[in-house]
Amino acid sequence: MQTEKQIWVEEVLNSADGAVRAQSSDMTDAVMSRLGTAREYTISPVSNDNSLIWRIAASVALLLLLNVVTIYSYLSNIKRSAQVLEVRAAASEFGLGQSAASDPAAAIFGN
Amino acid sequence: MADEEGLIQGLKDQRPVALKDFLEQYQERVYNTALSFVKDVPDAEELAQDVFLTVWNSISGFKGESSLSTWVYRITVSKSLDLIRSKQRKKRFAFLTSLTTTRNEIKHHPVNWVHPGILQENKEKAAYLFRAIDQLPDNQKIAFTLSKLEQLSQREIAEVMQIKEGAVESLIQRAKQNLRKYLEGIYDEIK
Repeated sequence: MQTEKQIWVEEVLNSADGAVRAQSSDMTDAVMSRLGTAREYTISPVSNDNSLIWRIAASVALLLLLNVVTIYSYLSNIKRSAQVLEVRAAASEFGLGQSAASDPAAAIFGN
Repeated sequence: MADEEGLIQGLKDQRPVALKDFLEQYQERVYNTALSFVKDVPDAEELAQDVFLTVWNSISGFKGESSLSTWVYRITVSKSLDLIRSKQRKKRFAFLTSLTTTRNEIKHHPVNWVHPGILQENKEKAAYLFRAIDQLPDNQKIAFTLSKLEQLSQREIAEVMQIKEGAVESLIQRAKQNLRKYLEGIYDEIK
């Protein structure tokens, strides 16, 4: 003979019998949207950041410009040195004074 | 609607239409299982979405050793238990912080939570059942919930839990014994 307590316990234990599935809101959009965000992030985290691309491009352009300036300046120096050597050779050939030979630039361009 | 093999291949090929089919077929199962464990509608919805994202992102590693539904149930149960544990940690932390602050805002699961799928006439009693299920050890909780609420067979539960069928039967029996014990305590409390 079951006591009132035992009957109650069994009823509670079986209270989930016949349960049906609860309805949820449609998750398709939410999942697609989360997936879209996740994919954009994992595939190309940089490509969508235009400001970053422009900053990188500007840095590269600046570096190239600095290189051009440096190379131009280097070539100018070489050219000037060659001219100095030429003038020095000419000065010594024509027997000009030591000062002209030692400072041919002054002889050419003046003080 | 695609058959399981076609569905798996579609997901492996990352075809959005396969994902839509998959969502149609599995949304209710995943949501309801999550709801049975986490006992909170927004949490269950977010968790279900997480499950779908996990499946989509890791389907390439699915070797087909179990059925797709078993694999999905396994992911759902595992994520649900992780969420419960994380909430319990937060609850403990909130309790500790409440000791040092004047604000007392510890959030608990509602004591009388009932799965919305429970028949109306059983709702009052089912609230006690869910309170008692919360007291069960994880493995008994999984076996009992999947059997009672998801109505999975013992073979399916064995596959989800990766244990033998006999072990599932024993877990369900032990769960029932423990639930009877907890429910007797609740009866003494309320009567």
